[in-house]
Amino acid sequence: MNRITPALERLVAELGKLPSVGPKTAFRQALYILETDAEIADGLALAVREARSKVKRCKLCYNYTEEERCSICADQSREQGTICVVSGIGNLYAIERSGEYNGLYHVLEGNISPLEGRGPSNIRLDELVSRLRGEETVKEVILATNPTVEGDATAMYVREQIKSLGLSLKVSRIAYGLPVGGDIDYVDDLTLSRALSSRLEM
Amino acid sequence: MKIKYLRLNDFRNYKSCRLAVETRLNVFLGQNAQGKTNLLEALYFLATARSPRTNSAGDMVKWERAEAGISAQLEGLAGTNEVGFVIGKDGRKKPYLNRKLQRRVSQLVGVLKAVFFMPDDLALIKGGPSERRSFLDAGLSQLTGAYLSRLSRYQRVVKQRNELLKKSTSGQVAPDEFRAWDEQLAEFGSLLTVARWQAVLSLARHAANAVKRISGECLEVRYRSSFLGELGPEDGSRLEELKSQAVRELARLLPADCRRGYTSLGPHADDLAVYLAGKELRSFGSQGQQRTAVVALKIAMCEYFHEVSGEYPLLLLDDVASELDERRRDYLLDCLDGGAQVFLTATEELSGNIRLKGASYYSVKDGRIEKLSPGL
Repeated sequence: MNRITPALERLVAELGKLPSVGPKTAFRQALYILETDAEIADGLALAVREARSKVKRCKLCYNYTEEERCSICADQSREQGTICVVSGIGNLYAIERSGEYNGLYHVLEGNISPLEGRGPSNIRLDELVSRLRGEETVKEVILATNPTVEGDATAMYVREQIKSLGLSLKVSRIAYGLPVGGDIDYVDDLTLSRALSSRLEM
Repeated sequence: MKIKYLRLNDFRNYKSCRLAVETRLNVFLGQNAQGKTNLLEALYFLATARSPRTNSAGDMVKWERAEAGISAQLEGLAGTNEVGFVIGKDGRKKPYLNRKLQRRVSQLVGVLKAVFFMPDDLALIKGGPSERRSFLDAGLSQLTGAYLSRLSRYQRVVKQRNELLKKSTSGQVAPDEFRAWDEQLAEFGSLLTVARWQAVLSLARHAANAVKRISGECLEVRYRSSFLGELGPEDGSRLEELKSQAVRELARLLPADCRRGYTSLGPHADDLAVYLAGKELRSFGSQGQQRTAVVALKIAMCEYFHEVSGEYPLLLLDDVASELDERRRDYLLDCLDGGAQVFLTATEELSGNIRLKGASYYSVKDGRIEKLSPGL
């Protein structure tokens, strides 16, 4: 690469810090920002600053919001008796996209992982527990953490914590299963064996 | 299962090598450091996605090259398939099945099946328990995909739990945090234990037959579980309660584990007990008896593959002439007669000892393979 100006270099370096952006992509994006209309570039800068200053966590479920409570928690038409526990915001949006779920959420801050230095006290679990203690309307907690070793450990830990509260609550785990529209031939053996052991009667 | 064709590009000391394989027995002759073992290593890597010699796959890329490519065409019960890997200098492996890139490396493991036998393998008897566990894992991983994924998940759980144990000495960990890991450790641990136990039952039978025919002695092999102790054929019913027992045992030993900083129970701490005439072979056997047992276990593994999958794996024999006397070697080749496709290496001084009917001979020199005329 030829000598580029310090400001451009800085922009490339900053863009390169974004997830799934490598040095080449960062450079292309930086050139685009320089060469495109001024409004687009300013719009991007403004959007970044605005998002950072306005978007915050919902006090109840830790979804993103610009108010005290997120639109899901504020929506009285949603089932108030069900809380779905996810490991991150991305998972919440995925479940929302499915349109299948009409209850509330609790967004954890990742999974338990001693190797990454994250224990139960670091993932917003206490917040869930005090929420369950306070709200008697909750009848079911669905654990929808990822089916990884860490996600399963988190689900088991949360289950134990909830049980120790002694509330009359149903705790369920999202099912392990086959991808819809897929061919059983191409499913890996562990997924298949779990799908078999958690089969449904019909 | 047989290889028809092998291709190596920038792999170890091979620049570009294409080898058509036409026979069941294939003997590769050459001086040391010419590339004989590299050839077997490539075949084993295609079967297991692991090298028997190194844990950093990048070592296999030819000096000053960015990546190595290896592939083989094989014919077996599943028809004709081509398996291949592109290996980067950084150790990254890209798996190809019939020239299509696969999502996971594990999807390729066991498409080609192979059992490796090299001079170091005496460690299978004399070495530590990890040698014997890897022997079982290498076989089972090729035979069932679920075994391999369970094993890697299990290893991840043990790693997480050990990290937690190390932290626990500073008093930061609540005991109930262990329960989340113990449950998974017990679940995967008991599945792995049962799978290994079943394999060992069959291995024990085949290995005992082999030893009886080589030396007339009585060999016994048992799986030694850290949860349940030594397990023989009669212990099937004990395995039913394994998972709940595992949870209890893990909880009972938690204080000791915390002091040590590692998990003391589970398949990662299990072993294979090998007895000859009632005595533990590792401590009491002669060198010769130990060699016989290693040969017997390798043969048993081939037979187990045949039993489970309906076909023999490739048998890769590295420099066995130097390690085994004629009687054991002949037995090894005889007993597989008509069965496995064999790739065997030998230095030229020893080649006079190896005259096999219907075998193809090749010379290996400086990363080149040449077929030798049959008269040689």
